Amino acid sequence: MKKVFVLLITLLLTSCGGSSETTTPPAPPTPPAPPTQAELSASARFLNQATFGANIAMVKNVTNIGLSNWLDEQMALPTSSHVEYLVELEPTLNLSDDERLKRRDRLEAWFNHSITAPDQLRQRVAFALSEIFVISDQTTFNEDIVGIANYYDLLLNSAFGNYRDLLEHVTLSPIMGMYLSMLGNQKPNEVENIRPDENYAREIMQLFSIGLVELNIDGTEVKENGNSIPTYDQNIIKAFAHVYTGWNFSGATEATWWQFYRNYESMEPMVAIASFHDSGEKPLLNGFIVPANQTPEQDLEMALDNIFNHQNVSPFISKQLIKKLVTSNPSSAYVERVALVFNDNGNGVRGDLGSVIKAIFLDEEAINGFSNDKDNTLQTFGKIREPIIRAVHLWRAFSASSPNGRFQFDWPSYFFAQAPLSAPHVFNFFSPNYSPPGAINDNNLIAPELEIVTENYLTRTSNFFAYSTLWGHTEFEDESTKDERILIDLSSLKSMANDIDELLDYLDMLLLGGTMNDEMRAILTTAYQELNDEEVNERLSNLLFLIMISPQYTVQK
Amino acid sequence: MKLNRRNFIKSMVSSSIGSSTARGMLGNMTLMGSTLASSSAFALGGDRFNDYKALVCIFLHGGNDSFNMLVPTSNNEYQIYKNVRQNLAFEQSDLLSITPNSAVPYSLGLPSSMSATQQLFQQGNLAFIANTGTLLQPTLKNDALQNSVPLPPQLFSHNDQQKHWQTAWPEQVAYTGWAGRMADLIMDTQNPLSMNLSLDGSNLLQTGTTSLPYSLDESGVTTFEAINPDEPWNTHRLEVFQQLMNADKHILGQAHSSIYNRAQNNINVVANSIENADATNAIYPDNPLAKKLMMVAKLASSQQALSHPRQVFFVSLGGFDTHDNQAISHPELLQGLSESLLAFNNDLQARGLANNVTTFTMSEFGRTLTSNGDGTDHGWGGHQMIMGGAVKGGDIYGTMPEDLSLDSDDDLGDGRIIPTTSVDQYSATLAKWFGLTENEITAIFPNLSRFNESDLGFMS
Repeated sequence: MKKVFVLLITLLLTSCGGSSETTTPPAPPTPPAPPTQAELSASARFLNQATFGANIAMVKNVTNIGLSNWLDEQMALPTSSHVEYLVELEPTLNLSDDERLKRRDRLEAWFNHSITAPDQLRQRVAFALSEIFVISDQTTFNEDIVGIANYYDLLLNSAFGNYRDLLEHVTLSPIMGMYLSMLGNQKPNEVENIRPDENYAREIMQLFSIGLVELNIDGTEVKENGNSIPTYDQNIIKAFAHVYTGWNFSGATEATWWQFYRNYESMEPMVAIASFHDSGEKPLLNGFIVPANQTPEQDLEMALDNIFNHQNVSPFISKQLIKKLVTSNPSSAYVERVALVFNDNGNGVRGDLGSVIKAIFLDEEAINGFSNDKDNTLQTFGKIREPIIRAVHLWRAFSASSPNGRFQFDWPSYFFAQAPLSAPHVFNFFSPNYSPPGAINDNNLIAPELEIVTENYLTRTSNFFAYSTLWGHTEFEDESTKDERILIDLSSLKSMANDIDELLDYLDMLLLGGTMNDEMRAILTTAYQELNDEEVNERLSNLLFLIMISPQYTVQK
Repeated sequence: MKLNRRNFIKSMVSSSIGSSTARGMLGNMTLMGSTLASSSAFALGGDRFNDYKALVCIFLHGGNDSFNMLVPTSNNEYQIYKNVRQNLAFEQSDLLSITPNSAVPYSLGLPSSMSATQQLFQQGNLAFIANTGTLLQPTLKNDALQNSVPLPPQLFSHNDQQKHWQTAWPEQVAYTGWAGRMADLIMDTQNPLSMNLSLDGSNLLQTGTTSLPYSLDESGVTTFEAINPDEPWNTHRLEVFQQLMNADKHILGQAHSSIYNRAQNNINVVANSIENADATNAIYPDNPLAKKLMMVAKLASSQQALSHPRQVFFVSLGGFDTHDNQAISHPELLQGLSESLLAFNNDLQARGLANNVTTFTMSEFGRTLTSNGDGTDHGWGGHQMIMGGAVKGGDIYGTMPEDLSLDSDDDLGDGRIIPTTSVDQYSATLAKWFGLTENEITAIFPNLSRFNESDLGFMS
């Protein structure tokens, strides 16, 4: 029997019992039962799926109001904008005339908001979207820091809207326009053998919407005589490529079409210039034909509608989001339940992402997947936590701060093989279908995030947690006061330092969502007690380090 | 005995003596059970090879526009090229001429940014293999247009075509690469370090059924800070960590732990061998590919310390998906590639390893000959380069397209050139030089028998 987390109960009782001392007391109200360890753990487990990681304040809040209300509250919160962070940061940097914001500043905005922003659900879902609708600073516009941040804001602002709008915002983003070269794409010129650019036409379908092969509503592949069926062929790619002609930076005109730097405008959606648009008819998906002689805008509306209404979109996008947020190997029934909500949110609306997100997190499988799985000889539910999310979780769970008051961390690519909006190519840091050889592949399972966990990067991630726990806490004696280190605060653990049961209850709840089994608990208990002679901060940070690098924590369940 | 794919492959090899084709074997699944017993008799282990050989794959990520790497210079063929490629065509007078040993249908040259490659070719250290690509069987234009022969799945899709290049077996359910399957067969299973070393992370080429690449990067390996077995103050922590890994019952967690174990078992031997590798006077250009090749040269010269008579290295260079800005970016990419190759060759020569190491390029596809204005789109066949002392260099292998005119018999449309040599043939030629037997090659390249030549003759 696990002990209840005593400190928390004390806090809750205090806050419930604060009624005024009046004359004749009415019959005393029954105080609500304090949350159990199991309830707190369930909240934390949910938060580890839906945010950048549980911290105690959010665990209490979720436990109080329930998952569904919490999701509603979160969706109603205004967006914490990364662009606004940069706009406010810039004057404080005292940049000289020839200096600009740098990549490190954009990363600072990302870490600041991922660690501290109240709209955690939005920030976390946008991060998932940024790994589906991929743009990257590993390209020519890498110095356009605000423009890249503006693309992230686009994802944040679209996270709970309609997928059709998201698709249009992404399509007309000048950053995406540059990344997948729809910007400047022009109608055919037979004399010069020029035909429309097929880059965006291909990737919007392969990666952002329908995928390569026909899917059933439950996300499994449709098979015909044992073979999968391609969703499109080269002729359809060509037709879409013709649709996406005529678009350029906002403010560009027919006369300035070729003047890239003069036109450059990465904060406004692209605009169409009709004389560069192909006006022929275009055969698209499912036999739909865009008629000739329409405007670029009309063509685009029809084409995006054509994609949006393809039967693959709901299972494709639903499964991608489930895999990014909850579990790498969802049951087909889980995918189908979410995909049906994508098809109809209950009010006849297709593509309502807010409803899809709720369906993902409130699904029986997301909530009970672990408990249904935990007694199996080999557990499969859950996903490898992305290394960068493990880092943010540590900093969230232990109220990180920096001596210089900012969250400057320039080396995510070095430690984690990933950084926000910095994938090596449009296929993201890791493939959504990566299946490493061995037991995972033998069991027809996948582990996408393991594709970036190579020997070298696993070592570096482990070292990151050594730096950030063993030495990266505020109790560590250090002369410097204004440096950039991000330090965790161990004070929340110190009151429990003499009670290993209480300590492990707390860490299990917050970090593992209550999934620590008896064997792990026994190992950590013995290990902690063996270090009784050590100084308390060393014992606590050592315990924390071991949990953060443990395979049990590395898998989000 | 539990049946797994490693045994399956081994059993195919041992059973293929007397079997005419790999396809026949693959189709005949009942063979598996009966031949398993004999698989253990198959020779494995570190004493199989008494010489050293290494393959270095440079994967040109994104699809190299190689019809702008090897360019016709004869007047007639140049005019056709110029007419098709328009604003992406190099000027005839700027092309660097090369003189292949064997007759070619028309003369060819290299872009001016590839003078280092010109030098390597003229010195006989480098060869080209023309118009190679993904095929399931020999394919003519009408076959492709009418779907009368099976075509590679998802032509023109980056990741699918990368898979085909790296696996040479697109039909398999579980993806393993051909270098990974080689390692499954020939690697010394007593050596904890893989013979497949990657400087660019996970990749299919080096992924086998049981063997995986070991990853490091241009700076070598990172050592553990707080769970380093060489540090006594880590001992207690390391013991606890090991207990935690042993107690884990999650399939994903266990896979994560196995990566940790591979790192822990190999870091020190790799770090030490890199540290002890001799320096040479070779001067490398300042680009990411060159830095990686410099590390490969060190690792190759450490092969004895690593107890590896055979090694495969994976290195990649990105940026070849030139949908736009190609006129600027592509010559720069080729220059970086070219100068890195020359420096690497010089380094290997200085180490006395030039005859032991063969470097080859791969890229998921060529690109359209036609332009989309300022770039090109995904094509199919393309040319590749092979470099090393064991390469019969100064020559062009395979078949150059008759010319580059649009709507020719080689053009599937918009200048997507249908390959005339398959990935399987190209890779099998390298595998044969590497020391694999005919039977092993047949097992590793199950589609090879569909093509006429299994050895393209570019290796001595």
